[in-house]
Amino acid sequence: MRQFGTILADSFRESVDCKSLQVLLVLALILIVLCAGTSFETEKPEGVIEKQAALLGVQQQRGHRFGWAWLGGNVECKATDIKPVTAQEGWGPEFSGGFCLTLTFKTRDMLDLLTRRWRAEKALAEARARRPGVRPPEPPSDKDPLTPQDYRACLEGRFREMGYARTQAAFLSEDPPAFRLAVRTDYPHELCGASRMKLLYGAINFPLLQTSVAEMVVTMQLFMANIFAGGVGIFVAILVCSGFVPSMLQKGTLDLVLARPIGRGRLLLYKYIGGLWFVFILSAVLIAGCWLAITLRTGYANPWFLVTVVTITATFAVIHSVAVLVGVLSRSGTLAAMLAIFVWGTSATLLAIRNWLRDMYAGQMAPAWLMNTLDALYAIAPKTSDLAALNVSFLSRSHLSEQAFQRAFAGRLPKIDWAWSLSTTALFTLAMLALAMWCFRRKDY
Amino acid sequence: MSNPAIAVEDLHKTYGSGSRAVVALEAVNLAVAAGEIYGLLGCNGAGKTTLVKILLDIVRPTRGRTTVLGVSTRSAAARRPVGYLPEDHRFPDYRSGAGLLDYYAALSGVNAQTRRKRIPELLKLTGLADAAQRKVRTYSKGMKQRLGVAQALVHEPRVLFLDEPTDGVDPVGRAHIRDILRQLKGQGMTIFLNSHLLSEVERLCDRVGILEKGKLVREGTLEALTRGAILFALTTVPPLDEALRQALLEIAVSARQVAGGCEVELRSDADLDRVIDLLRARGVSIRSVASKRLSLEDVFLQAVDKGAGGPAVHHEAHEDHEKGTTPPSPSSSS
Ligand SMILES: Nc1ncnc2c1ncn2[C@@H]1O[C@H](COP(=O)(O)OP(=O)(O)O)[C@@H](O)[C@H]1O
Ligand SMILES: [Mg+2]
Repeated sequence: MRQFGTILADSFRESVDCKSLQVLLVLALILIVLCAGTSFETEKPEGVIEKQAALLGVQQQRGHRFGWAWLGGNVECKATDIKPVTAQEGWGPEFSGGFCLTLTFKTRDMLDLLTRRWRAEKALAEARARRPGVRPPEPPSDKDPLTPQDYRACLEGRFREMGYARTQAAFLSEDPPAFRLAVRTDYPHELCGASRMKLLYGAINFPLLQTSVAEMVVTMQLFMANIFAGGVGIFVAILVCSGFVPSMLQKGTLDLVLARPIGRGRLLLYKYIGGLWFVFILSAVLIAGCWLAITLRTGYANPWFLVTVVTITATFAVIHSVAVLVGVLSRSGTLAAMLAIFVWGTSATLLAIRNWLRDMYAGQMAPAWLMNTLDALYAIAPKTSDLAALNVSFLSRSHLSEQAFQRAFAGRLPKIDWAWSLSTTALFTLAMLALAMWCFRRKDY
Repeated sequence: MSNPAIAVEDLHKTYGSGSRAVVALEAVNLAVAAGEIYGLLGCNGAGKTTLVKILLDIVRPTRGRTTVLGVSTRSAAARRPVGYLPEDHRFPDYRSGAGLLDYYAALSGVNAQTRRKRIPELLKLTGLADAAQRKVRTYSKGMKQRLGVAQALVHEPRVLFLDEPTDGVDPVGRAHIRDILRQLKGQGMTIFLNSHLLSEVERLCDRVGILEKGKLVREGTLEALTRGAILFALTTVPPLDEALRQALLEIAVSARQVAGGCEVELRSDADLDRVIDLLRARGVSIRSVASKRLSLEDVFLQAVDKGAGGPAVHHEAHEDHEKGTTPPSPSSSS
C-alpha cells in the first residue's frame, strides 16, 4: 500500500515537473469560469408562442444524427390572440395553466406542404423504430388528399415536438386557413425557444430558438464530458502519461527501481494506475467545478453529470493500456502516445462506420461480408466512442423527460448492446495490460 | 561457508538466442560470508554487472541458483534487505536529493517516521546535506554517485551490491566512498563490489574473485591470491642476457629480464642460493636481492591471460596505480 501511494505520487510529481498538470488545471479552470458565466433567462410565454409559430415551418430534423431538414419550405404563419386558457373557451381541464392561440396560415398550400412533410417524417421515424430489416418507405405522394384530421394532427404534433405535453387544435376557418389551439407544458424548461442564453456573464446574449434550456444544459455537460475532457483532455493526458512507463524504463533509472522489493507486475500496474489517477483528478476537478457552476447559476443540479468522471477515466484507461504496452515494448514515450492515439482514432472511426451502416440501412445495404468483417472488428476493438454514447445516454435520460429525450437525443444514440460493448472493451484493456505485464516480467534489463 | 550471505551455484546466463547469443556467465559458483567485502574483478564485458543483476532479479538466469541471506533471489522479498548501486545510474531529475531518497525508501517499504530520521543522517554521511533540497539535475557527477550510495543505504540493508562505485569519480571522492564502505563494514554489512579498478579492490576487499569471459577463473583472499609464488628481484651488473636466462631456467620456474637485473620465480627459498652461485660463477656481480610478492595486478593479468589466451586488458586496470595513498605496496622490497 505504501509502495502504491509512492508510485502514484511519483507519477503526479512527474506530470507537475513537465508542467502538464498545471496547464490542464488552468484550462479546466477557464471552462469552469465559462460555465459560471452562463445563465438562462426565461421569456414571456406569449412571446415564446409567437416565436414558435413563426418557426413552425423550420424544423431541425431533431432526434436524428444526420442533420437538419426544412420541413415546410417557406411556410408563413402567425399566432394571434394568445391568452391563458380559460373555462369559457371550452378546453378541457387538462389545459388549465396553458395557453391558447389562433394560428393563421398565409395560404392553403403552405399548410398542405407543412402537413405532408410532417406525415413523411412520421412515416420515416416509424420505419426506423421497426428496425432492423426495414427500408425507408416511399414518402406519401403529394397528390394524397389531406383531411382536416391530418391538419390537426400535424399542428398538434408540431407543438408537442416543441415541448408541450398537451396540445389540441380546432378548425377555425377555410381561407385563409386558421386554427385555434390550446397548448400546455408539464416541463417549462423543456420548451423550445422559451429562453435566452447568456454567455460570459451576459456579454453575449441570444435567444434559444430550436432548443430548450434543459437540452442546452445537457448539451453543455456533454461538451465538457465528451468533447473537452473526453477528447482534448484525454489527448493531452495520453501525451503526458505515455511517458510515465518509458521514463521509468530508461537505462540506469529502471535498475534503481527494480532493485526495490516490489514485483514487476505490480510496479507496472501501479504506473498504469498513476496515469488513471492523473486523469481522474483532472476530470474530477473539471466536472465537479462545472457541475457546481451550472448548479449555482442555472439551478439544474443533475448528479449524473458527476458520474461522467468515471466514464472519462474509463475511456482513458482503455487507451492508456495501449500506451503502456507500447511503452514496455519500445521504451519510447512518443511511439507509445502515437500508437495509443492511433488505436483510439481508428477504433472510433470503425465504430462510427459500423454503427452508421447498421443504423442507417439496418445493415441491409452493405454486403454481408462487409458487415461481418465490421462486426468482427467491432468485437475486438476498444469501444471508447460507445463510452461517450453512454454519457449521452445517461445524461440526457436522467435530465430530460422521456418525450424530450426522444425528441432531442434518442436519434443520436446508435443501438448499442451495452453488456457486449462494455465487456469486450474491458477485455481489450485487460488483454493489453496482461500482455504488457507479461513482456515486462520476462525481459532482462 | 555454512550460511553465506550471498550464494551463487552453477550460474549460467546467455543473452539472446541463436546466432546472436552472448554467453555472459558460465558455471559460476561463489559464496560471500556475512560481514565480508567481496570484490569481483574483471575486464569490461566480463559479466560482472550481469552477475549482480541476476542477484537482484533484474536479469533472469538461464540456469543456476542464487540466494541472498538464504532467500532465492527470484522473489521480491529477497530484495528487502539488499541495497544496490547500479553502474551508470540515472536519477529521475525532477526530484531533489532528499525527495529522491524519500521515494526510494518508501518503495522499499520504509515507514514515514523512519524515513524522516534516516534521510538526514544519510545525507550527512554522504556529504550532501547542503544540497539536499536542490533538484538532482543540478548535481555534479560525484554528488550523484554519493547520492547513489545513499539511496542504496536508505532502507538499512544488510547486503550491499556496488557496481563500479568509483567509476568516474575523482580521487578525493573515491577516498570518501571508501571511507563510507569501511564504516559500513564496521557495522557488519556484507558488501559485494564490482570493479575493474584493481587498487580499489586491493584497498577494500577481504576476498577477491576474478571473472574472465563469464568464468570465475580465480578466487580467494587477497593474501592467498598474492602469496602463490616465491619471487625474487636481483639487481645485477651486467644485466641478464638471453644465454644466462636459459641457464637460470634450469633452477627457476621463470626468469625474466627487468631494468637493471632480473626477476626469478623459484620453487623454494633454498633455490635462491643456487641462483646466486650460478650468477657468481658466470662473473655477474650482484648488487641487491629482494623478495617480492605478487601484486594483485600480476595475479589479474595472469588469470586473464590464462582464461582467454591474452585479451587486451583495459588500461584502466593500471591507471589507478599512480594515484592515492600507498597500498600494501605491490612492487616494493621487503
Ligand atoms: N541486455 C543484454 N543483452 C545482450 N547482451 C548483454 C546484455 N547485457 C550485457 N550483455 C553482454 O554480456 C556480456 C557481459 O556484460 P556485463 O555483465 O555488462 O559485463 P561487465 O559488467 O563485466 O562489464 C557482455 O558481452 C555484454 O555485451
Ligand atoms: Mg559492468
